[in-house]
Amino acid sequence: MLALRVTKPVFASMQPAVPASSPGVVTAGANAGVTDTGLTDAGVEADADVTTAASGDRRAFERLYRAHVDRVYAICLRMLADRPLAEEVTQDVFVRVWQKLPGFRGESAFSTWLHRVAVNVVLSRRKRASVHGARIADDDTLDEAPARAIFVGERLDLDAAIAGLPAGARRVFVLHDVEGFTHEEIGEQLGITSGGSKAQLHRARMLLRAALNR
Amino acid sequence: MDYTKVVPPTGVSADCTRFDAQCGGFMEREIESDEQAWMTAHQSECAACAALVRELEAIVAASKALPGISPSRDLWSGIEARLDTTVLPISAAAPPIGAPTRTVSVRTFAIAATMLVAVTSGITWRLAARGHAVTASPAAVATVSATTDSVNDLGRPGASVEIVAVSPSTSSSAPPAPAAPATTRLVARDAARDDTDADVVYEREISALRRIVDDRVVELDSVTVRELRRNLDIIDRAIGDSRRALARDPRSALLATQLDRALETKLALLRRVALL
Repeated sequence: MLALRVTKPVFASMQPAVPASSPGVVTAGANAGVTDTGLTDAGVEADADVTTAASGDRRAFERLYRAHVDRVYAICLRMLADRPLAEEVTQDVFVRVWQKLPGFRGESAFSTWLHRVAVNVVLSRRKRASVHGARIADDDTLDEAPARAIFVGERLDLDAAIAGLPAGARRVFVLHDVEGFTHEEIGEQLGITSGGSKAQLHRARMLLRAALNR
Repeated sequence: MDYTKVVPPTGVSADCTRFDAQCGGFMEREIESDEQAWMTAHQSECAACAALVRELEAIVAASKALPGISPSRDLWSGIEARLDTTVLPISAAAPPIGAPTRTVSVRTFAIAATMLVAVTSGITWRLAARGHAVTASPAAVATVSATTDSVNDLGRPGASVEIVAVSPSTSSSAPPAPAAPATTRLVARDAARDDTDADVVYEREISALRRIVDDRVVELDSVTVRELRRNLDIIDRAIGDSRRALARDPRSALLATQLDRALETKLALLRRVALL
């Protein structure tokens, strides 16, 4: 039997309160009701903003920013576990999106594309930092040490527990369980095998369980 | 797949240890069907292992439902300012024929002044070196002569000026010394390139410094980074405002000066951070 036991009703409060989010589905914090199908008025409006922004309209781009910033910032924060850095990278994401938007062909939902750009920007930041040996460039040895929880003084919720994960496990967990990427995609993006991704994911889940039971 | 890296706690039964080792694959439905059946059977008999799966499934479900998070401040102004300061490709720098051009701006003066300082320093050094050459060793004279040839290239398109300070022997009686290594090297770009647009020069330097700062920023204290970002946002807003105003009134020396000052301020800040 496992030594870890549920001592607080943590898991009871963790049931999904809103529909599952994944790349392509905009949920809380964004335009509620906007889906891949774009059937709602808000969806049509968002599509129009994408088209208009792609032609250089900054007001339309600002509307897109306001609709999606919470999701983008959440990706950045969860993957980096550093608020100031996440804010900076969020800005980088939207600047990159602005630059790439004219090339967006609508083959996937805008939010799906946006999430992938965000992940790429986060990961490219990590790669660039690793060249310079910065702290963010954790390798397997550093990976043993969990990151500092960033929500000190606040309720230890799932986000705080994610922030406390070792960086490698955190990245895989966020990409797979939060953002819905496959192990193959994660392996490609992080330069690891899909088996390594699965192992990191299980490790992350077990560590989260331990943290939430603490 | 090796799911055994998460070591189960001691004091558990062999079956629970086996269950733990396969739990990752079990949840991903990636283990053999026999093993899957055994896991299901064990789960139905063992409350602790059933709780483990339940809790892991709850984490997965909760993760999919995590809400967005709002940043602590509105990031739009910083983003918008950076949209304004997109680095222009060099080929796009030349103004179209007939387009209104700015009168001689402070920036042009600043660049010209830099060139003037470089050339003046070179000439001063050359005169000083010539004075030394009267008594200098042959090696030192040869070095000065070579340098003089370089100076004569000034004004040729694409040429560069290299001013090399050497350490000549000051005693005529001293034996000829090998050419001393250069102690100072000043490379000045040819000032004759009239088509170089000041905006491009600024953007290129800001872009280069920005890359250095982006790399450095992860090493800095988060409070410093926050302050730096706040200051850059303010400066970027000022640059954006000045550019927009200048677009409406391209001949305004006042606006051009304001833009120059904002760009200089940004450069100075980035340089300071790059040197931290």
